Amino acid sequence: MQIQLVWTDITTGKQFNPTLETPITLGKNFQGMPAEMSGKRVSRIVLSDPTVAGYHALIDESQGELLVINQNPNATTLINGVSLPSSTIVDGDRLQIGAFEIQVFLTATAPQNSGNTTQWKCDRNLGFLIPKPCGRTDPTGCPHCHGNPNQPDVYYERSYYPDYGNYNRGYWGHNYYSQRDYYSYNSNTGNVDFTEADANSVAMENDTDYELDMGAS
Amino acid sequence: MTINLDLFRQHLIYETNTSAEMICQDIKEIANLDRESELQKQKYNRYAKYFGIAIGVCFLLFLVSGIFDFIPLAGIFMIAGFISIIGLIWALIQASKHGKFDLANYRHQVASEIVKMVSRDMPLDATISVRLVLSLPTQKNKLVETIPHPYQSGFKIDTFQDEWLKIRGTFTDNTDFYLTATETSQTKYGWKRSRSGKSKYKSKTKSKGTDLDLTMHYPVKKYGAIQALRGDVVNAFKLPEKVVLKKLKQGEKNLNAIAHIPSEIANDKFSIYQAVTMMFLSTYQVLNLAKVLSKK
Ligand SMILES: [Zn+2]
Repeated sequence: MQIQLVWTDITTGKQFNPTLETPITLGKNFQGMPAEMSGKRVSRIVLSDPTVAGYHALIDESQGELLVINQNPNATTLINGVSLPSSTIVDGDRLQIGAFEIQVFLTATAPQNSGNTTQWKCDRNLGFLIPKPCGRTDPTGCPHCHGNPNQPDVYYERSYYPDYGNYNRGYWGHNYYSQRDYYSYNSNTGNVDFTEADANSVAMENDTDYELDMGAS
Repeated sequence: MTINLDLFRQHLIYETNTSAEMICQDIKEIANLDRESELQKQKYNRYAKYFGIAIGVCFLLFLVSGIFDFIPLAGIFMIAGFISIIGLIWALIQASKHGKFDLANYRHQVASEIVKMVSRDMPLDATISVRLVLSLPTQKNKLVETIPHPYQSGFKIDTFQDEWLKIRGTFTDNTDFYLTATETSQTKYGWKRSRSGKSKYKSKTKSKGTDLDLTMHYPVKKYGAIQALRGDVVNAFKLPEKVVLKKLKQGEKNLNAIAHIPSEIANDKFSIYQAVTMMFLSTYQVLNLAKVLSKK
C-alpha cells in the first residue's frame, strides 16, 4: 500500500512529504531498522532526534488495513494523542513519534492508472540538468527510492542556482512560460510560431504558476 | 583502468574516450601518482636540508680544528664536508625528479568532479571524451606571444595559453556539449640594473585567470523555440560572484558561452567546479523552457 507521510523536521524546520510504499519503519538509526520484511523492501525513515528510539515504529499493511506498531517498549507512539502499542490508522491520522508529529495520508488513487489496476510508479526525477521521471514500478535500483528523506541531497549543486526550473511570476522566463500554449516550433520552416489571436484572453485565466518538478525533496 | 602511467609520465597528458566510471578510476591513479611524488619530493627536500646543515657544521669544525692545529681532525671534517656536498646535490636532484610529477591537484580533482556531474544526464553506456593536461602552464609549446614590455626597457612579456581541460559528450536529450578550460599566464623577464650598478636577471610569472568555454549543440526539433528567447538568454545566465560572462553567442543550433575566472580563484577546485556547474544549469534553464515552448 502506498501512503504519504507529512512532517516538519524539528531542528531544520524543513517540511517532508514523501510518498512511500509499505512497510515503512521509523527510527533514529537507519542501520538499526530492517531493510527487508517478508520479501518486501522496507522504506526506512530516519528521524534524527534523541527522543526517537533507534527503531521506533513500523507502519505496515495487514488485510487491507494500515497498521502502526510500536517497536520499542521504552518508547511511546501516540496515535491521535493516545499511546497505543499498536493500532490501525486511517487517512488524516496523526502519529507522535518522539518529538515528531507525522500526519498520514492514504494515496489510494495512485498517480498512474494502467487499465483498471492501479500500479505504483516512481515519480522522482533522476536527471540533474534534464528532468526525467524515474518511472520505475519497483523501487529496486532507483537512487532516490530508499525512502530516507534525510539522506544528503545528491543534486546539492542546484543550490548554486536556486531558481533552477522555476518559471513562476517574477522569475526569468515567466512571460514566455505563461504564454507557452501559443508558441510552437515549426521544424519544416525553422520558425517559431506564436498564435497571438486569442493569447491574451486565455493567458490571463489560465496562468497557472509552474515549477519544473526537480523531485529531489 | 585505461591509463598507461608510463606514457602519462612522459607528457603529463591524459586523453581518453571512455565511460565516466573509467575516467574517474584513471584520474584516481593520476592522483595517487601526484600524492606519492609530493611525499617523495618533501622527503628529499628534507634530506637536502640535513645535508646543508651537515656542510655548515663540518666547515665550522674544520675551521676550529685548524685554529687549534688538529690537522688530522681537520682532514676528517673536510672529507665529511665533501661527502655532505655530494649528498646535498643528490637530494636536490631526487627532489626535482619527483617534483616533475607533483601535479596541480585542482586540475585532476575538478576534472573528475565535472565528469561525474555531466554523466548524470548521460545514457548509462555513454562515453565521455576527455583531455587533461597537467604539464606546467609555462611550457614552451604553450607560448603564444612575446612582446616588449610597454614601459620597462629591456624587458619582455611572454604570454602562455594552457588549454588544460577538454570534455566532450552527449546528454540523454541528444545535446552535445563541449567544455574547455584555458589558463592564461604571463612571464615578465629581463635584466634589471640595481643602484650599485650590477645587472640582475629578473623573471616573474603571473596567472591571468582561466576561461571556461562551453558550447552546446542541441537538437532543433526539441529546442527550436529557443529562438524566441533570443536576447533574454543572457539574463538566465548566473555565475559565481567573481566570475564574469565574457561572451554569449546563440546560433541556430548551438549556444556558446565563455566565462572568465579571475586569477585569485582560478586555481581553486571549488570555484572552477561551481562556475562550470552554473554554466550548465544556466544553459538548461534556457533549454528546458525552450522545450516547453517548442511543443506543438
Ligand atoms: Zn525511482
